[in-house]
Amino acid sequence: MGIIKKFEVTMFGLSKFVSRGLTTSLRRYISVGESIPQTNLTVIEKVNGKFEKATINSGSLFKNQKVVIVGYPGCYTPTCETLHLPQYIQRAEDLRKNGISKIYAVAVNDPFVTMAFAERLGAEDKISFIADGNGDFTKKLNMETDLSAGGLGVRSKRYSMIVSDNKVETLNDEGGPSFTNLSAVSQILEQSSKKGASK
Amino acid sequence: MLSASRLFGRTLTSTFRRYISVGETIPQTNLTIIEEVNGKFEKTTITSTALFKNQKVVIVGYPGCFTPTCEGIHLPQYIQRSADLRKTGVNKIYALAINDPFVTASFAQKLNAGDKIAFIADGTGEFTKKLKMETDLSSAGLGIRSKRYSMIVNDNKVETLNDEGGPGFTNLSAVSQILEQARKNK
Repeated sequence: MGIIKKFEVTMFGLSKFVSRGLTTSLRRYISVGESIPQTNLTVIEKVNGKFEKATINSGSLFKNQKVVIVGYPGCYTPTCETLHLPQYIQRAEDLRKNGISKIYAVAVNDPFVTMAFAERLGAEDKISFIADGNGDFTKKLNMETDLSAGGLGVRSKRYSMIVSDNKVETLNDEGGPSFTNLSAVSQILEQSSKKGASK
Repeated sequence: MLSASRLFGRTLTSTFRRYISVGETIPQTNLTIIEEVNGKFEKTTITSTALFKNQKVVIVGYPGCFTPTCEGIHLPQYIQRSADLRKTGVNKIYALAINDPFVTASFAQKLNAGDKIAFIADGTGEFTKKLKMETDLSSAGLGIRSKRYSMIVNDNKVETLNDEGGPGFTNLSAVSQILEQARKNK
């Protein structure tokens, strides 16, 4: 191979490596130790017996707070409705004993659907909801997944995380919509009790 | 040349952006239908061509399940007057929104739609975008949604279209309007 050709091949390979590396860096989802990217959030929670909608900046919402964020694919989908979220509602008290101030369930659903779903779940004031209707927050965390095949469009992956004063302390990422012990409440209870014990 | 190509491109874009009109054929799409079968809401997939073949149907586009106007006023009207629509020769009423099948089925239950109207769960917005009837409701946290409209489709051809142009609800997309139009076209 001529020297020019060798040069071309090397540069080509190098540029691909760089771009793939760059792409991977850009596509890498939120990690432990990173700060939650500042976003305006629509929060649905029960206030005086009624579900209310409020807009608040993530920076303010999570400031000086230790919270659990639970990502789920969709309101009214079977697993989210019957297994995943009810667990967190049931064990909300235990999570609070581990120093968790609040639990936020986030999905790419609008505020209206989210509110109706919160009522349906009987969430009361045990967990709050982030209605990420346009998917802005989920995309900033790079935690989105394409569920168009199921007629759902782009949604949140299933995951759970502990966020302390806007920094990600723990992340359990299912990598897709599936539900396993990884994103179950038992896992995050254990992780939050360890942290609490080490304080 | 740049200006010429820009003008050409803009014209092309405008041509492509024109939404579905009277006389045009519904673009063939796979649809997810939610309807009551034996007392339970079931989900099926069927092509629009097969679904609307030799049928006179009313399609009601609405911005979203569980939103106040859709839930409180717009769709209940169509549920209440569905029998009257059928008397004018309309075989079926389809309510269409960019919502997934799960949300749609729960909404259908909440509305007590029964077997009076069926629902098209256009989860990815594919059908709405083919009809070019989408609108951006991101400012309200809803993303891309269907405009509010009603239309009469006869054997896959659009006979009548009442387009609100956005999410607003007026007499234009009300059931009274389509009832009158269906009676005239009987």
